[in-house]
Amino acid sequence: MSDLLPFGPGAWIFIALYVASLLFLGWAGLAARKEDTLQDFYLGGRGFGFIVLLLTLYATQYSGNTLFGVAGATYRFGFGWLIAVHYMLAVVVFYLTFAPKLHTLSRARGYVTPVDYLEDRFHSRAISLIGSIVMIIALNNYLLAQLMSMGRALQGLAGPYGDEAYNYGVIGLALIMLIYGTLGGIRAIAWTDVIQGGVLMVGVFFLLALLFDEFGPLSLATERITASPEAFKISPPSPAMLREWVSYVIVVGMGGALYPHAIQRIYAARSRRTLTRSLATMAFLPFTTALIAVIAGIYALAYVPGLEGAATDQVLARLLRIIQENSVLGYAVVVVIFSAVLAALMSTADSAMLAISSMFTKDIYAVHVNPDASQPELTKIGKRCSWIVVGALVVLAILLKNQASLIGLLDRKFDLLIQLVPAFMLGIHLPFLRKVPVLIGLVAGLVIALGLAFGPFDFVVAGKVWGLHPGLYGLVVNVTIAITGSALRARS
Amino acid sequence: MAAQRKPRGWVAIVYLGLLALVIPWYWPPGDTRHAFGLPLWVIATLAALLVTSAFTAWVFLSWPEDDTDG
Repeated sequence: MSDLLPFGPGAWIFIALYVASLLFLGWAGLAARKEDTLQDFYLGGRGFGFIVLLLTLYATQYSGNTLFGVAGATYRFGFGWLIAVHYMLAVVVFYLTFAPKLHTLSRARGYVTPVDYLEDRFHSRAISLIGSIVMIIALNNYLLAQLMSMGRALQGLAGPYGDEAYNYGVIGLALIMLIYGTLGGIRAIAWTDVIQGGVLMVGVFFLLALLFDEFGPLSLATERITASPEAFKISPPSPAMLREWVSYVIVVGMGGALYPHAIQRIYAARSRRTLTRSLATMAFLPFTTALIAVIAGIYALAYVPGLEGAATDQVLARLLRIIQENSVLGYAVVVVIFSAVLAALMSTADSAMLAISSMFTKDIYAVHVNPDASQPELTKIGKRCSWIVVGALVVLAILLKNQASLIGLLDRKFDLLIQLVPAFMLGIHLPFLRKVPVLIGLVAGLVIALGLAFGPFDFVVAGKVWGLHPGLYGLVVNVTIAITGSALRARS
Repeated sequence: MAAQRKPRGWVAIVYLGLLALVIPWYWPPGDTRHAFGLPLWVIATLAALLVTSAFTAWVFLSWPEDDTDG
């Protein structure tokens, strides 16, 4: 594999040490286990303090999509993709609507998965089952995007050996993640997130410094773009793009806040104060990570022109390759940045993997398949589930190597997830919401979102209707049915 | 402390106002003027985003610990 990547022995030793530290933390998580229960394996005893919670939220929220997808989208759309900074902040804003109260409820009622809240609030097996399926599908989509990003990270760096490097990247990193994730559960994942979040925070600042050093100030890049056929990418967004902006902020903001692995971190916070302090800090992190990914995309637009389609998601890796070939210092720092990229990918993928296995085990297997299963048996089923799911997605990621752009993958899962907004963000505050209208609204919202996204409609352009995500139309109908239906039932 | 109040409807109104400032709908089309490598409309958007971050942090930090209603 060393022939595929332009890294020397020193770089490989650094990366090997980093990977070894992840495996060590997997073992340490196993050793720190207090009991063989789902609550211990998936929530780590609900004891996450400020630093661990902040870094695990950060490492989980900022993913391969953030670095590769945002840099790639900026390359395609220009400065207009500041949308990404806005939607990453919107995720934190939407936490305001439900996270503090959900944390309190989770401690009082012993929730382990997001569906535990749905079951407790609505007492409806149909809402719980549909909620589980929606979240598992959305997470599988997300995990697939992370695995593909792992491949892209190596593909972009490997130059002519890109295709082989992609396969090695997907398989190798998935294997490492599976080992530490299934050994130590959420403890191992949160502890690795502390390392991964730290490396990511440092790495993105190194990236910014290297871009300035290699290509000169941002003003040169902007002037270069202004003098090129891509000059329109400097201008304010068109009305159509502005509509997409609003749509992304609402859809990604709400959907990102409802990620099952994010909700499990809300449950795992030591106290409400710890949670609110961590989220207050998270409100500033889009400026450190998403904004730097946008700036990287602008540099790529200026200095690596001519890429199209799925290749645009490799622009960050292309920049790194140029930097490391031109200076010894650049080479050393690129190794750190490359580790930060791996950190972003793995920390998000491992959290999604664990959330999938927890929901499959607790919400589907323990309810519908084997209600008499013991806690140790369920934990074992959860670990097997992780291996099977990740194995299947690795195969899919390799088959889809040259097919989908990362932003395209990102869109569909949020269309689904936001249909859970009435149940979580409204249901937690509005006691009059009833299960039947919420269920009908959920089903109607999903049918509309999926029907518009995949149906043969001429008015659906690039997966959107008049620049708005199909899920948003579904959500309007969903909320209307849930509220008016509940109000009518309450009156009668 | 005055901040120890549960967030109310006015918080949502502030967010709507900030949303209108962040999204550059009010900027003339085709404007490519820039400073320090950033188009002017980008600087305006980033400034509004920073205010949104600070406001969000303030709302979280002023959340009462004993609030039983969320």
